[in-house]
Amino acid sequence: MLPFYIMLFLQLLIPVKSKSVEITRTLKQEGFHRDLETVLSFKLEKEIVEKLTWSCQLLLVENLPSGVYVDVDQLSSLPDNIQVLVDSDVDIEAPEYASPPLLVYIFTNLTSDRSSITLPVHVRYHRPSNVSEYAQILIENPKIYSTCLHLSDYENTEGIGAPCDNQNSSQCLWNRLQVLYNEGKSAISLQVPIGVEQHSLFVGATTLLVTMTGCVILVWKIVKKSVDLQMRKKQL
Amino acid sequence: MLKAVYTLSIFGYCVIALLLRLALIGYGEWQDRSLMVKFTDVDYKVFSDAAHYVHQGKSPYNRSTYRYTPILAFMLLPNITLTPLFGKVMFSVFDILTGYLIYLVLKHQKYSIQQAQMYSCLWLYNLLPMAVSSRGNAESVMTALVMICMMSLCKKQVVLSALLYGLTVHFKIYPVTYALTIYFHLSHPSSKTDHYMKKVLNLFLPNKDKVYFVLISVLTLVLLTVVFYHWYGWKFLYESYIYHIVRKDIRHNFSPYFYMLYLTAEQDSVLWMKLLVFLPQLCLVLAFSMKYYTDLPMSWFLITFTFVTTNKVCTSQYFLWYLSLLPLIIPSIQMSIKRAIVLTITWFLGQAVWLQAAYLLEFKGQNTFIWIWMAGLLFFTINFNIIYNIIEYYKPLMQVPSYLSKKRK
Repeated sequence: MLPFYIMLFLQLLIPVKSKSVEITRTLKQEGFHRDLETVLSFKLEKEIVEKLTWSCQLLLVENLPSGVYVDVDQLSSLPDNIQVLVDSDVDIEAPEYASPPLLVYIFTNLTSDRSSITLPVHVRYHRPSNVSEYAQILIENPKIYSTCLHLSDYENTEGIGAPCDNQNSSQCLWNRLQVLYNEGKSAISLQVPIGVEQHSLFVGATTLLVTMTGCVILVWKIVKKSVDLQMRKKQL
Repeated sequence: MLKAVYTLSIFGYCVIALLLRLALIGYGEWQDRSLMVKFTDVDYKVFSDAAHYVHQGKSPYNRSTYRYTPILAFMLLPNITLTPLFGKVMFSVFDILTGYLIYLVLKHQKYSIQQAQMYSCLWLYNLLPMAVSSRGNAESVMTALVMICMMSLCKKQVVLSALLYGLTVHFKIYPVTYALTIYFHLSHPSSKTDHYMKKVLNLFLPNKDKVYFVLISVLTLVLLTVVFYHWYGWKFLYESYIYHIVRKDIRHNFSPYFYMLYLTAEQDSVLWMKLLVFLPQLCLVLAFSMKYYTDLPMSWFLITFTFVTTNKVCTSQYFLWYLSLLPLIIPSIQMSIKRAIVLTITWFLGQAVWLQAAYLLEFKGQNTFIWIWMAGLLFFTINFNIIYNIIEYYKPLMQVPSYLSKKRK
């Protein structure tokens, strides 16, 4: 009798040991147009990998900061097994300080124990500064959800209601997966060049000086220049 | 063989030019299927999607970033019902039409058939418009409209040209800058003995043609606006007119004002700066309108060239607006071949310098704002130097009365 209670007690103390998805995030390319690559690796038994079909759905929920955006037109030409839904309209011309953060749902299917998702993101213009020539943008790690039975070992207790697919016509219950991020970092960062505020006066004055001078010279030229006629080479 | 080419009529040149464009469209199909880098213009999908909505009886403005007149979506309906290539073929036909109209305008200006053919070939066999229209960009519809409008004005068909002008401005707003020069153009010629003041007065005072032109073009524009507003509501007004006027894009572009506007984007109190940015555009459009109104190609070319160069936002797509008018004025620019080549090289060089700095910013993430700005000012200077030289070496075939300059004998 006693060992049973001890066992029960111990079971309550030690949580059920569930597995974690290992996630590696990298930003490829430089400058304003980047590829945000997310690699998910699962430790699955061979039999389960063989059972994986197109119905083993994964959902990545990205919370993109206002410093970056996704181009909805570009997203429609991603590979077939990746569908993306953005929660709001995206103004691709607006600067960072006039833009809201974006909630991006990425739907994909797990067909092996490894899945790689590349999301093209673009950097917005940022407010000029007189402290640094670059601004830093932090992109948080995504939350991973699934409806797939084969991944129950990875499930966390939380579940959310989210769109079933990128058509956004119905809601599904998604189970959140336990994750382990590479090197334990909670976000990936990138640098973006920004205008130098100290340049304002010099740039403004020089620009207007050049354009006004050009304008005055041309107007002067138009007024002074008399129009002569061409000598006709042959009579038509 | 060479003789056969030489004796081709304008129709022959047009047919060959069209075949070349069709071949490019065919090549584009191959590239889109085979390579990562797509040949088709991103906007082509926008037009096609808008046509799709119209086909379903919905508003073309359901497609985000559709910022054009609904007429364009109607014109592209065969994209849905016939073949997705229809639009590209249609844009190529408009492109050829532009070339043919260049020929007609030059002939109307009493240039020889050989000259008219030669200069229209500068457009028909120019790689830039060729690529633009076969990639599915609608810019050629605009160049053709501007050209038809000019042709009807040259032929003194006031009602027709007013209808076309209203339609052209409805399609894209920039030809609104030609309004003043058209108004002056419709003045009755004043006699040589007239007093200076009388001549100027004659320019501004209305006559029958001017009243007709203003009324009909304004009515056309208003009618089109009212009809489409009735059908598609506020979204039409915003996307096809207001957006283009209030557009405040601070991202890097060829404009000399780009960095200044980026640095001061959040300062609302700088009204005087806005005025100073607007002033050169206004002064030069006024000056060109008064000086060259008798020669519409010359005045429209200079107005468009300065308007694009001094605009707050300037991208390479806008260059086509003045390049389409260039073949019309080349025969009246009497500069040496050497000078013309040097000026052309500086124009390309200015863009190359800017593109290099912009590449380092956009694709390498280096802070090159100050270099992009300097390259923008350099390109501005180069463009103004070209305009200066065009004015200097301008010698038209026809009489141009001078109101702004005192005739020196």
